[in-house]
Amino acid sequence: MPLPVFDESYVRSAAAAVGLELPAERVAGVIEHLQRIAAIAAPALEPQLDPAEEIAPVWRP
Amino acid sequence: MAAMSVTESAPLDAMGIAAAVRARHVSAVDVARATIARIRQADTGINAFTAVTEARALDAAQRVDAELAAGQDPGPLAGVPYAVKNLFDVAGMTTLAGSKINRELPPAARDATALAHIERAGAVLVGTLNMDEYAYGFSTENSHYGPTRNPHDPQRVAGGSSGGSAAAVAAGLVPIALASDTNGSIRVPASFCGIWGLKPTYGRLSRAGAFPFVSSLDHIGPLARTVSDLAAAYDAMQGPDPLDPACSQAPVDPVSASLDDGLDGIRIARAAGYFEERAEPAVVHKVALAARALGVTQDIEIPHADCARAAAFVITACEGAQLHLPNLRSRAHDFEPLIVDRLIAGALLPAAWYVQAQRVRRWYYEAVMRLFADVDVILAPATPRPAQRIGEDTFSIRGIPMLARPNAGLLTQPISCIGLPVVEAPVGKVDGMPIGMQIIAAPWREALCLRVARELEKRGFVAEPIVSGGA
Repeated sequence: MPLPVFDESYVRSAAAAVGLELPAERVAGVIEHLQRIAAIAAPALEPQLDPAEEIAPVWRP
Repeated sequence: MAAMSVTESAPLDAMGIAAAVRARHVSAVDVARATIARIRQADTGINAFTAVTEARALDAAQRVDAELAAGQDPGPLAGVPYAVKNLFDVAGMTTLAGSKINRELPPAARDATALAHIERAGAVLVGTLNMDEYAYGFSTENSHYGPTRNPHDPQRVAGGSSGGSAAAVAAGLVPIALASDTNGSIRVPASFCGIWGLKPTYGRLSRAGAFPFVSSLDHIGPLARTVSDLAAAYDAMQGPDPLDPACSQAPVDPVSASLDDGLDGIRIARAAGYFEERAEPAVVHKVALAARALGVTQDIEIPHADCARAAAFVITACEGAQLHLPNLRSRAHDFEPLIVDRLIAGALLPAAWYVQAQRVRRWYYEAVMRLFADVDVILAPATPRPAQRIGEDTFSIRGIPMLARPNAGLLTQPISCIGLPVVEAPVGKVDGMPIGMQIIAAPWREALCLRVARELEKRGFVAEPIVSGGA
């Protein structure tokens, strides 16, 4: 899975998309955490799994 | 009746207290008073407790004594003092979940299900315990309520996020504490504090009335100083609960009676690969000694553990952030500084990552379940190294420096990711500090984990001696 570039542009547009107004002093810290998450998440993003596979948890009425 | 030695240098375990109370050698009221006095005296050096529920404790203890006087049976935990991580609802109290924001919430209308169950067995609540804010941490370094200090070295963390729970038990303030574990929050502090912990199968115990963190991964469970106490608390906490959609509807499956069934027929292996490479050699050695004591000769590799840890990390980041998004929008400054940027980052992750992580979780689960065709129990270190110093941002594992706080859960996350039951066992000390081991089984096989734990305990692997915090 291609990784997005977690930079200030990404943070500002993603934050706006979820209704978060980020003060300038917060941006660097958030970028740092996104990059850390990306580094840790990398192994989970590699497996090519069946996109039709049911994911957990499964909601049932 | 006079107070027992519960205030002296050798406080009784829960089973001992219950036996003495039921035999009316000591009153539940005297036990409660002595416990509260000990907490007030010893907790200043540890900061495990955020509240002491003295009036409630004395009321409950009086009821236990009255039932005994009337010839009734208060239950197997009659008069046993216990405390809870402050994310559990306690009727009439505000559920802090380690936060400043939650102080503004109205008091809980009723006890969490776990409290209701354990008190049906006669246990007596004496207080609530410190934790990482909203359970998002492995160290219980809480800016709002102060850090909880490790009773074995007050300059070191107690672990988290159930640090208060582990420290209270390790310091002998209570024999049983209730806690939660999403990625390691029972197992990490139990390892750091040298006591026993149980994270049951996902869905085994009701989480109703426990403030959530990551619904896909949240578990609750007990901490104790003996395997008998751990099993008794777990038995008391069981039961189907429609208030928790994830809670199994399976009937209660008591384990205490089978604790001494021995190891016959239990195939045990030690986890190699990921679980050795990401732990200090001295920690791996301690696990090897415990495995040898159990007669274990087989190693096993749990495949894709790095993927599982990564998936748990992503699921945690996404779900944790979503839970707090309204407050992140309006009052980010009121969050714990150690977690706020991490929460915000989680809110900004691509949705495709979350879906992939949940898919990986299913794929990994199927791979691990194939292992259980050939083995019943797997042993692995609980933490890569012992507790770090309070305020320490980095530590090293096998000479590689890394962030201390998120990496304390390196070895626990791949297991809780798929909800396997785990007993955390004290297996000695490394560099003068306790270290623990995970005893892992297939889903719903808590009884096997506890039988293995009991055998370890009989072979001398016991909770580290009680240390008065700060003394």
